[in-house]
Amino acid sequence: MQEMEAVIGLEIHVEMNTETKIFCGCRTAFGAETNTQVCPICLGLPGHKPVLNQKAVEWHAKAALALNCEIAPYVQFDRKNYFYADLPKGYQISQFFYPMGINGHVDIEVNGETRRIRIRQIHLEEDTGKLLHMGNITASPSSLVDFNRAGVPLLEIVTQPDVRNAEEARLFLQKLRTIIQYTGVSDCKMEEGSMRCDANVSVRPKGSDILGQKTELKNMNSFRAVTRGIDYEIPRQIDLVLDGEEVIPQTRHWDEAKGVTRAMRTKYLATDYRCFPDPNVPPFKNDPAWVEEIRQSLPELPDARYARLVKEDGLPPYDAEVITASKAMADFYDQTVALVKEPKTVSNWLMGEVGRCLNTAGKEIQETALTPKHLAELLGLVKKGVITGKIAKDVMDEMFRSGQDPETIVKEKGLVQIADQSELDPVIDRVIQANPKVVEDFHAGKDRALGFLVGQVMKETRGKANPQMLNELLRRKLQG
Amino acid sequence: MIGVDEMLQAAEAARLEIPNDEAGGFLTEINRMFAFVKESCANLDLGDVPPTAYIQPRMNVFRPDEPQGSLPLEIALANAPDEDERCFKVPRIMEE
Repeated sequence: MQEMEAVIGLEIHVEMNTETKIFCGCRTAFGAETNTQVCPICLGLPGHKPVLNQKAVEWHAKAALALNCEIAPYVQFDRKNYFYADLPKGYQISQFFYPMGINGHVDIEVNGETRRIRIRQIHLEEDTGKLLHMGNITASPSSLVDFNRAGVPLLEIVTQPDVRNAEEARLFLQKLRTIIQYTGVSDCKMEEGSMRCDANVSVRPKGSDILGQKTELKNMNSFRAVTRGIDYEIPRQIDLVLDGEEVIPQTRHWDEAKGVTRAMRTKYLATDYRCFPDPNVPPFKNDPAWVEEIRQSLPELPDARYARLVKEDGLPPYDAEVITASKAMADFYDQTVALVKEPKTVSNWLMGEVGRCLNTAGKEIQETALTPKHLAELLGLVKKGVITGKIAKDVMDEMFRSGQDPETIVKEKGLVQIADQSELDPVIDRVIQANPKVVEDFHAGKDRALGFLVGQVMKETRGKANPQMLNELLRRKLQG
Repeated sequence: MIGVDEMLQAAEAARLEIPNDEAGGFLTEINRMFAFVKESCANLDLGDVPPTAYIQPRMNVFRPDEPQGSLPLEIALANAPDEDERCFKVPRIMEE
């Protein structure tokens, strides 16, 4: 049987964090009551002209530079004409002929090797309204439209068809999201729709240069949906081709519940959109000095940060990867290390206890009451021997919950470590007396016996006994 | 000059219905317009004229990212052909 391969290009839409829409002063807040952030411009009512949001242009340049794009010297907006219920004007204003960002790339690690996914272009456009379906999209008799989203500035990032499978698509998307989040241009929340991914999928005989007919997969609202959608579509197309049938170029809707893609509408060809320059939006030229200014304003990006954490802080590559996957986490790490100067300890805590608290609460670190200062103070208390490592974990839980500083928690709850022999002696004596059998085991050379007795003392002191002192005292008493 | 298929494709993209018995007439008229533009251009010296998309020579027109008021809901929905649950109501969008 002929071996086939998939050729995948991704189109990622990212909503920007601007205060207002791209061409009007309506707010862009997520979750506002339906159709309350609309005006004549974004509803496409006659007689009102769009004026471009300067911040959107700046952030567009920022994102494009972060993704290694060139910034085009001349940019214009065009009308992309099509009819759809979520598009009030009957056209979308987009940079079709002269996009601002071109020829970029993102490098991803696939099975230990670096793969470069080229970015053809990043252009700026207006988002469409949101269709709310009554019940299932395929069964619903009608749709409701909320135009709050219409006109929100949207970056469309178009890759070259360099992706070969679902896993590469996922790795690329995660890296892309991290980079954009670092720039602050968008929060890239797939679940809230501020990052959306369509995939153009085609198949061809392996090694061939010719591109097959492609389908465009839509409605993949999570990384998992993207991988599942692609993993469904590739074998579907291969089966068609091997059976001598044609792949129909069409837009296909990913049905998350049923795990299938289904035909949504016949795909438009580029010429069907009859694009032409929008006479209402003047074009703009980019001054090289301005581009340089934006480049200078970029924060340290994930790859550079990863390299620094490995090289300068001596973190293992795995730690550096986990810490830099989110800008908020990486910032938290840097701020804590600046205070306690022990990178690996900080990394252990962030990936361990803090990570556990975050997972349990289902939150990102910036959404919690925890601060770098408090974490640094907690590590200081452990280092000074004020509390044990075990107690520190309980204190962390409380800091996480209440946002209180660790010293106050330790004082209020009486968690200070017992490192006073006169306090420990009576407890140890009681434990030895109460466990004659275990003491016998100890003398018979069973190592576990000592551990059991340590555990009993810890239990009585509610974990506050200084572990080194306890071990030493206990051993001395048993042997003496 | 365009053929009848091209004309019907353009009409479909623009959601225009052209009845079969009128297609021939439309095609003749459209092609006459094309011929007029072509002929007019041929008679002018346009060698130094760049392709022009904008009437006004304006560039780099921006506004600051500052909120302005939006419309009250009832005004926003005033022209909706149908509405439900504070939204514009439209026919289902999936192809049969």
